[in-house]
Amino acid sequence: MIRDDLLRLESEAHRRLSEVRSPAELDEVRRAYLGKKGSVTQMLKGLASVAPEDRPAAGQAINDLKNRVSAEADAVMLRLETEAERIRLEAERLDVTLPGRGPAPGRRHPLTKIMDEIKGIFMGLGFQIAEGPEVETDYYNFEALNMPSDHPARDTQDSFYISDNVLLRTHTSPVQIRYMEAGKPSFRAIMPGRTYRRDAVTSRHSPIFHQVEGLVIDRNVTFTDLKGTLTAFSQRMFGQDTRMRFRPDFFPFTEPSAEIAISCFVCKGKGCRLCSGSGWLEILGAGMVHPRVIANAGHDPEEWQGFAFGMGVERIALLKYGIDDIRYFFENDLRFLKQL
Amino acid sequence: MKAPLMWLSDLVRIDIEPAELADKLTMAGLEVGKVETGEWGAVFDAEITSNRGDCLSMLGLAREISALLDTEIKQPLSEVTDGEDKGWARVEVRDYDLCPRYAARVVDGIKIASSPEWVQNRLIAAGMRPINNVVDATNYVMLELGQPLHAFDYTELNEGRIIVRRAEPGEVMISIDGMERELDPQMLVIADAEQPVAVAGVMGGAESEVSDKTETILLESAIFKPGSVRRTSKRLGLSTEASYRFERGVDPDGVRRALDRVTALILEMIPGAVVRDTADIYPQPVLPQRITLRGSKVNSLLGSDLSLPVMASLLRRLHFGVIENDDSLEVTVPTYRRDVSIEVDLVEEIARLYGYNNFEDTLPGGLCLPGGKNRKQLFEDLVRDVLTGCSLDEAVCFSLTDKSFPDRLLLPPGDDLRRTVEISNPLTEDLAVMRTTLADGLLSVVKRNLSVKENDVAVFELGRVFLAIEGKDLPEEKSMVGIAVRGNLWQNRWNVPSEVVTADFYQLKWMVEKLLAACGLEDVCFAAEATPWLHPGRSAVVTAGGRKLGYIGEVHPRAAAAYDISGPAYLAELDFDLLAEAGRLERFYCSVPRFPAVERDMALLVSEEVTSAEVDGIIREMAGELIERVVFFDLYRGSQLPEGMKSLAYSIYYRSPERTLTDEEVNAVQERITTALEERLSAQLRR
Ligand SMILES: [Zn+2]
Repeated sequence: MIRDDLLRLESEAHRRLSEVRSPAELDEVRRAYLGKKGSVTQMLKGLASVAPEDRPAAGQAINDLKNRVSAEADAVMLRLETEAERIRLEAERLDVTLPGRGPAPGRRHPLTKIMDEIKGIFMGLGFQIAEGPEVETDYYNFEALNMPSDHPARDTQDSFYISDNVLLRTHTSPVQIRYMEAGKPSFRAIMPGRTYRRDAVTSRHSPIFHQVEGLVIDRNVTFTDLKGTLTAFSQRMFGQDTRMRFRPDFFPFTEPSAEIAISCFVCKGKGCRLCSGSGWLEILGAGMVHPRVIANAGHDPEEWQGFAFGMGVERIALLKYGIDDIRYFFENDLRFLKQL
Repeated sequence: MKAPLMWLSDLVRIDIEPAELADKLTMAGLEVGKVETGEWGAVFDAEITSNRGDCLSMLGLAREISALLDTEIKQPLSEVTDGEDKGWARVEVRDYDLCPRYAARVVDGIKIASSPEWVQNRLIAAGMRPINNVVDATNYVMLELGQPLHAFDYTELNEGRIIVRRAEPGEVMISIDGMERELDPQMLVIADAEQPVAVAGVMGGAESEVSDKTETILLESAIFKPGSVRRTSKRLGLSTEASYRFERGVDPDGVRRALDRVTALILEMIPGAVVRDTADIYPQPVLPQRITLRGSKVNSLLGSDLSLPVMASLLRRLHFGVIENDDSLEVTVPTYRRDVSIEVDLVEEIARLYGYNNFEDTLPGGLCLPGGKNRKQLFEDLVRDVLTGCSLDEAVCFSLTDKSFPDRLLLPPGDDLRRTVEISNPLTEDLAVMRTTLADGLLSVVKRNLSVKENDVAVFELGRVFLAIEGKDLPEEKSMVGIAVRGNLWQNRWNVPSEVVTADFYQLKWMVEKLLAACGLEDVCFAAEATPWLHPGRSAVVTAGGRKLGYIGEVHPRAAAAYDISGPAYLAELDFDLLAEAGRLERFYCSVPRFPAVERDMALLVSEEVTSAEVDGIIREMAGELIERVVFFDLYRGSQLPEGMKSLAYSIYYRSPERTLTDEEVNAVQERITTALEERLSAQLRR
């Protein structure tokens, strides 16, 4: 008789649990069977009226039923929670195609980036970084560099003058003198900085521009060291397959002097618009430091020798980024600055 | 300099293609930009560096070619008699220091006409305009030998005399281009008995110019001092074929040869012409220089392993005289090679002819310090890292600007920043003085971007400013860091409240704080203080340890208007040198706290005049060692508050490194703080 009751109760509980739609309903059903006044609890209380020899079996059966109903209720609870979570998450759906938002990182100026790259390569070759004033005396800018006042080489360096004797430096070379004066050989340094020439602003020329000068002085630094150092630099800067062309040139402060071109990295030397069809890009001036310059800086040129070189930062930036107008560097148009 | 192949071929045998020759010349230091081929055959356009005045002629180039191709040179020579009529060429050189040699020859029986076609063709091919037989002859020989020559109309010379002297004060001369030239005593002139007839080495005078009626000429072949010609040419603003060559040095030994050559050419062109008389004033003949060249010096400089015979043969190809000793060479330098005067000049000659690209590539040996940046350079990197991290793009502005920038920046008369360094020869008015602040450039960047509808500007610059110092030649150069912000700081900001993304004083202050913190600056203080171009109520001076670092604030509306900037813009500028000096790159560990912090919030009602710094200071002072940090989190003004009052709210964090703090301890501190705030600032605690 109890067995029938249990079967009926279980199928009824199963039916009601399967119809539950919310945690509240589940609670209600749970209470109806398993609560203090619930049907299953009532049946356990009614065991007293069962014959003593049947009691253990009946008790066991009711407890089993209770466990099964309870487990089923737990399962329903899990189902409800899962469903509720699914619905909630569904409602939180985003349009992932909307753009991200937040502050954009700022950028270093292209000239700074090129300068950093140059500095990095030379630091790796054991160079220090030295600096000097932008407003210079005629002595440091010309005289000490073996360019006396009537030297025609001054023609190519038309200067902004402050007074007869003071001008805006036309190259970073005066830092060579100041650096050598201030210390004892050996020297191995680059000298980056801002330079000025009295040239009108055009797409090719800017009255204000930047150079990186380099200086290596020791007891036996040679012309082949100059070649090797600048080859190492150029290949790191422009690619390992870069070929070099050294040819004689004239600078009053070096002897011998060299003008250095690299094979065009666009056409690989075949000739293109960038290299004006020549296959070569002139990027550096260099030479063995003139003995008079070493002497002017207070050292004995019979004991100390070495090389110096210089390059235009804008020129390298123009080439590397493929920019066709030097004015972009100084206009600070954000549409330009944000590109590079 | 233009050199037709047909002309060069007179002087040296050329058996290679023009393009190959051009390449060889280029690789030897005489850059040939292009080879034109046309009516006159191949024409080389060679760029001659300023040390190689000897190459400004067909003969000079031919000498280089003969060295490169290792062939003989054919010297152009002409035999002419000096004439028998003594007294026609009356030359007096008064200033030998500026005119080491002066040769003149009087030629009579001249008939001015056009020069023969072959002469004209060569002149045209070399880029000169034919004029008449006499002038063409002088130009022809100048191009051929490099010696500038001049022909005077002899009958126009007073007393037929030539006096080489410095100009007298106030003297003037009409030059052949028709311009009146004011002369000064630093200029050398060629004068007749009365007045200047030519500016020495630069240009002749109109009065004594050869004309159609000329029957007698005086030919001048002379040497003038390069520096003097250069100064004179610069002062007169007049550069000629002659002055260009004299500035770069002309061979004193070639004077007579050129005079003979031009005479012979004139005699050939004008059958009736006769030489009357010749003068040649050359008191101190220049002797070829001798230089001892050590083989060891050559190899030590070049890093090469050349033998003495190889060096000797290279130099001989370049027409140097060479005597070989055991370990050195005695080298005789031709007088035209004025650029070769010391040992290293010969080293270059050897390297040049040997070919730069035939030397090895090596790296310098020996000990060297590890490469790297100094402290200041490391700070530069740090500044750029922090400011780009604050979403600022780096700008690079011109350090020259116009003279009125101090007015745009509302600088009062006598302000320190009006101590500008002025350019004495500016190219344009907008690049006439050096900047004394980055503000002008940065505001110009804002202006420029607004003009192209880039309305959101957030930039920084790290650059130098220049301040004139009375009594000193060189100005003070200081590096500064400047920041300018305007508009939205975020490009993508949909649905983000505008106060989060719009540039304002506090956004800028956040950037400055981040920068100063990253530089390790301590005891930083922002105090309300005006800067001329900033809003007086919205600007502050920034100090660290009591030293003024710079300023921060909203741009004064009148200054903004001067740069066509609409809406508020914000500027900060800090002394980078001081930042790097006072800053700290080293970092030290401090143990991670083991005990919990206690947080207490405090809202205060204070009058408008009370600053947050005052409140903050009292909190810290009263809390003593237990304080960890004080975070300001709310400012409230509103109708609920009494007139002239505001509410400030702070979170205060207490922590001890040794133990967990008790409520009682913290309450006691809070009590002290509250009492002090009430007593000193009449603050009321809002509960
Ligand atoms: Zn190319």
